[in-house]
Amino acid sequence: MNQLRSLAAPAARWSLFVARRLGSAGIALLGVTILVFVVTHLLADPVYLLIGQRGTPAMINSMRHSLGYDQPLWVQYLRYLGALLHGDFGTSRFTFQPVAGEIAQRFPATFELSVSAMILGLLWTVPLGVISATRPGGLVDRISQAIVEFGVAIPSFWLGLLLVFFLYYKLKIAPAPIGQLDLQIDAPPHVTGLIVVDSILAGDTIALTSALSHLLLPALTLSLTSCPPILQLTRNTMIQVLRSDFIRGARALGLPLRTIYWRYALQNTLLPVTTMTAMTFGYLLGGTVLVETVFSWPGIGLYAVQSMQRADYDPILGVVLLASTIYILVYLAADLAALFIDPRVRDAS
Amino acid sequence: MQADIVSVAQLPPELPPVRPLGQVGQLWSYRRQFFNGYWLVLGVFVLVALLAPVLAPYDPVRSDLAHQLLPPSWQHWFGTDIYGMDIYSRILWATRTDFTIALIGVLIAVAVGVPLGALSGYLGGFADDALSRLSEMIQAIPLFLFALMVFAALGNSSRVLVGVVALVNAPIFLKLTRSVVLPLRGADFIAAARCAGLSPIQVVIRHILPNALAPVSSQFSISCAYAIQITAGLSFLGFGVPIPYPEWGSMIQEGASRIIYGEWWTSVFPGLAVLIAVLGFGGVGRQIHKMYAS
Repeated sequence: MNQLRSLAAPAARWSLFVARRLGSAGIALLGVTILVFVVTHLLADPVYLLIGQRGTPAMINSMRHSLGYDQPLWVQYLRYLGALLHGDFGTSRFTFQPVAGEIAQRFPATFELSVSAMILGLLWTVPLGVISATRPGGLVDRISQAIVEFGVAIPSFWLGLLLVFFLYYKLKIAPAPIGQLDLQIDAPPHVTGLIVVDSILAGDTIALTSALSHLLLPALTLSLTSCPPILQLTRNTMIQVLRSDFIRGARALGLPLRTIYWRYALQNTLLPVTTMTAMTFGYLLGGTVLVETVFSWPGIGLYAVQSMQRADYDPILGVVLLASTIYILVYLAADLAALFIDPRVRDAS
Repeated sequence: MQADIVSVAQLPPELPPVRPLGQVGQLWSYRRQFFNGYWLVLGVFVLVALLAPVLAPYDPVRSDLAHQLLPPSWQHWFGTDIYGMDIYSRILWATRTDFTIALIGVLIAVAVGVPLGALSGYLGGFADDALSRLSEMIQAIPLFLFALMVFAALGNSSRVLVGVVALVNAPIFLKLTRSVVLPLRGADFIAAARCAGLSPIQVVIRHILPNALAPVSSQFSISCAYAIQITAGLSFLGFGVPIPYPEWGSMIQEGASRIIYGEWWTSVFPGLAVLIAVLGFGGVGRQIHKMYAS
C-alpha cells in the first residue's frame, strides 16, 4: 500500500507540474497576442498601418468604421484573436496574398537553415566543451574561451560578410550570397519545401550540390555566432560533473579516461545542454533576420524585413506571432523532455 | 548557563577598519581586481567619442564623388565609401552615435527595470506575477522581429531605436534585481528596518537596493555590449539612424553590396569597431561579475 502511494504521489506531482507548465505556456502565448495587439492598436493606428500615408481623413474614418476599429478595445481584441485562431494572419498589402500562406511558403527555407546551423554548431561546440572541461585552464580551454568571447561579441551579419569576402571572393570555394540555389539551376519539384530533401528525393545531384554549397556560409555564420553559449554550458556543466563522486569512483576502478569522459560524464552533462540547444534552435527558427538578409536567404526573417521596407505590416505581425509561438513551444518541449529524461528533475518538480 | 557566555575565541579577531569614504574607499582597495585591459579599450572609445571633431581628418558626411571607393591609403586610412566619404572619420564620429544610443537606452532600462524588479521581489503577489509574465512575453519574441514591429507601429527614428534598446534590456534588469531582492525579503536586517518604522519604499531604497549595486553594474556593461549589437544590427537593416549620419551598422550596410566585388574596407572597418566595443563592454562586465562573485 505504502509502496503504491509512493509511486502514485510522484505521478500526481508530475502531472500537476506538466499541467502548470502547459498553463503557463498558454498564458505566454495569449500574452504575446495581447502585446502585439497593444502595439498595433494602441501605440499605432491600425487603419494607418493598413492604408499608409495616402489616406484622406474621410477615407480613414469610413475605413475605421467599416473595419470595426471604432468599437470597444476588448471587442476588437476578441475579433483579432478569433481571426488568429482561424489561421487568418491578415493580407499582404504588396502581393494581396494571405500572410499565412506566404509564411508557410517561406518557412521551409528558415527551417532548413536553422537545422543545418544547429547540426554544424553541435558538431564543434559539444566536443570542444568536453575537451576544455577535461583540463580547465589548459591550452584547448583557453582557445575555446577565446572563441566563446569572440563568437558572442561578433556581429553575425558582419561575420557573414567576412566569410563571403574570403570564401567567395578570395578563395572561390563558396557560391555568391544569392539565396538557396545558383541562378541557372532549377529547383527540384516541391515535395517538402526543403530544397536539400527535395533534391535527394528527386535524385537531382546538381541541385543537391548547389543547395548544400549555398547552405554552407549562412549555416556556418549562424553556428559560429549562436552556438558558443552551448560550448560554454557544456564545459561548465562537465567540470561540475567531473568533480562528482561517481566519476572519482569510476577513476578509482581504473576505467579508461576516454570511457569516463565521453560516456559517463558526457551523459550527465547532456541534459542542460539539450535544453540550451532546444532554446537556441527555437530562436533560430524564429527567422534569423540579419543573416537571412546578408545571404538573401528567402526565409521568414527576410520576408519580415522586405515587408517592412514596403510598409506592409501584416506580414511582420504574422512572423512575430509565429516566431514567438515556436519559441514558447520549443521551450515547453525542452522542459517536458527534461522531466521525462532525468529523474532528478522529476523529483525536484 | 555556561552556554550563554561567549568565549573570547568566538569574537571576530578585530573589527574591520573604519573607512572614511565608506563604499568608495572599499572600491579603491579592490582596484586591482576591478580594472583590467578592457577598461582601457572603453576609455579609448570614450576619448574618441569626445574628441571626434578634433581627431577626424575629414568631414564625416561630406561626399566627394571624385574619390569614391578608394582603398585604404595614407590620405584615407580606412579608404572611402561609395559616396566618397572618408571611412576613418565616419568611424570616429559614429562612436558618438552608437555609444550615445546604447548608453541612453540602457540607462532607461535600468531606471525602469531596477525599481520595478525591487518592488516586484519585495512585495511579491500579483504585481510580481504580472511583471514576470510581461518580461517573459517580451523575451519570447525574437529581438529583431520585436524591433521591426515597434518600428512599424511608431515609425523609423533614432528615438524609437533608443526605446527598443531600453525595452529589450528592461526585463533583464527587472529579473536580475528581483533575484537579488527575493532572498533578502526574510532577512533579519530587513525585519529590523521595518520594525524601525521605515516604509516599504524606504526599506527598498536604503537597505535592499545597495545589495543590487554590484550585479546591476556588471549587467549594465554587458547590456551596453548587447545594445551596441542591437543598434548596429538594426541600422544595418535600415532602421534607427538615417543615412548618411555616421553609424557603424549603416556603414556596414553601405559596403555590404560591394563585398562580392572585393571592396572590403567599407564594411570591414566599422564592423571591427563594433566588435572591439562589444568585446570591451563584455570584458568589463565579466570583470565586475568576477569581482563580486568571489
